[in-house]
Amino acid sequence: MKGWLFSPVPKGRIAAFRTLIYLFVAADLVFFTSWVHNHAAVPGNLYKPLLVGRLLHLPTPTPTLVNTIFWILLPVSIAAATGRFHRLLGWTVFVLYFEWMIIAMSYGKIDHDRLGLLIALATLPTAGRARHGEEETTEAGGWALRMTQMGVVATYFLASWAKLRFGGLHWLTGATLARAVIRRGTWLGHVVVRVPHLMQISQFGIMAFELTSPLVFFVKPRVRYAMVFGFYLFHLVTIATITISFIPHQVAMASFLPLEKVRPLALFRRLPYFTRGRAAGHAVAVAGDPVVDRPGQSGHRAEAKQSSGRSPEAGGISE
Amino acid sequence: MNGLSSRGKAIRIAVTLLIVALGLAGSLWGTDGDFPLGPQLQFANADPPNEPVVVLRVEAVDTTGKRFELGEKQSGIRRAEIEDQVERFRANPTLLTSVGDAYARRNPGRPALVEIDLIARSNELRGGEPTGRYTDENLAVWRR
Repeated sequence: MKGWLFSPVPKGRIAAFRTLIYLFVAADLVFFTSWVHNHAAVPGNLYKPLLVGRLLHLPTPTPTLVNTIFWILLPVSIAAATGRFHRLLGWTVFVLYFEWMIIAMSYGKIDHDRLGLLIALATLPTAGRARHGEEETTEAGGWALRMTQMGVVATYFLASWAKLRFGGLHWLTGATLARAVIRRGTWLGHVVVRVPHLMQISQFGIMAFELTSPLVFFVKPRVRYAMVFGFYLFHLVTIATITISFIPHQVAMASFLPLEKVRPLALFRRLPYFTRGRAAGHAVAVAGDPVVDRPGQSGHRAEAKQSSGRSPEAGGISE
Repeated sequence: MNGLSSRGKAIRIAVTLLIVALGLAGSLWGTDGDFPLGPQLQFANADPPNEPVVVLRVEAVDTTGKRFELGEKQSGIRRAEIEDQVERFRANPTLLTSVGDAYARRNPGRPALVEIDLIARSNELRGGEPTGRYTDENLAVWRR
């Protein structure tokens, strides 16, 4: 169990996950969950503080508070995406984004799509230094990803538990999905809701998939990736039918993926234009260069060989 | 490999157990107000297959006589937030002016509102499928 919790992962994966998560926070502020900013204009008498807000004695949001958090969090999250000052910037993003979410959920509607994201933000500052492409493995990073994965899977598993607790077994044969389509369905949703019994069959399917989601931790990598692909497919269907995207959860779910293999900037630097530009400024080793046969030997040709042999991404700290 | 010290592991194990315990407690006994560790209540209610599906909306009339929906785009308040506090609006329709105030702050210069209505649309269901029929009911009205 202890080994599982701290399964080492390449530092490059942590660097990539950091970039993804912190860029998402910036995008979430201005695009995906931009409605939170709207609470600046809502009068305080509609504020319904959460337990955490009461325990921490958080103030009733005002336009100044909401705008201040927004304008600090946006640049800080973009800076955190570089991977530099991962503790200072990481903890700042976590504290501000957590307060941002408390402001979001304190007017009577609570969303359940970001447990994994909040756990990622709370654990990434503890994951240690990590550079893009770095192959050395890290246990601290492994724990951060494992915790995020647990948050993602708990979102499914505890959702099935909540259905049984609040809806009971009637949930399976009830009209929950039909209600969702009526309230927020797309054109496609309104088509499928008319297919006899399809909604009830889907409810059985959802319950089965949510109850069995923890199996993702016990299967071989190929099956695991297939299951995660299935999870993504589920969200594709919900966005297409009832406009429920769960996008923060989907981003956190990338903690299951070998993100270190996705290196857009390294790929960009390898484009012919850039490699030509680099080669033009340096001497390039060619066949027939003298071989260096002892330590410390230097010379024009040996230096040239050294510089051209450098990998394009070795010099970058982060992307 | 960059390993963790035994102290580093012990702290992380303690944090893990704490979060798991709070998360389970939230799901077993908690309510939605315990965010972020409350129950995962998304679509958790069992809706009866033959009872109408109610959808709330807020409508407003301005000084020019124009009637329009005062939805999330206009007021910044989400429909579900209105629905959660519906009993407060019914008991005290003047509270609808707070929705109007939010609209006025977000849309400076627009004509003032003279009426705000909270309307419930009941969509008929038969055997878990919508029939397409509905009825509207005014739950609360505020007039200047």
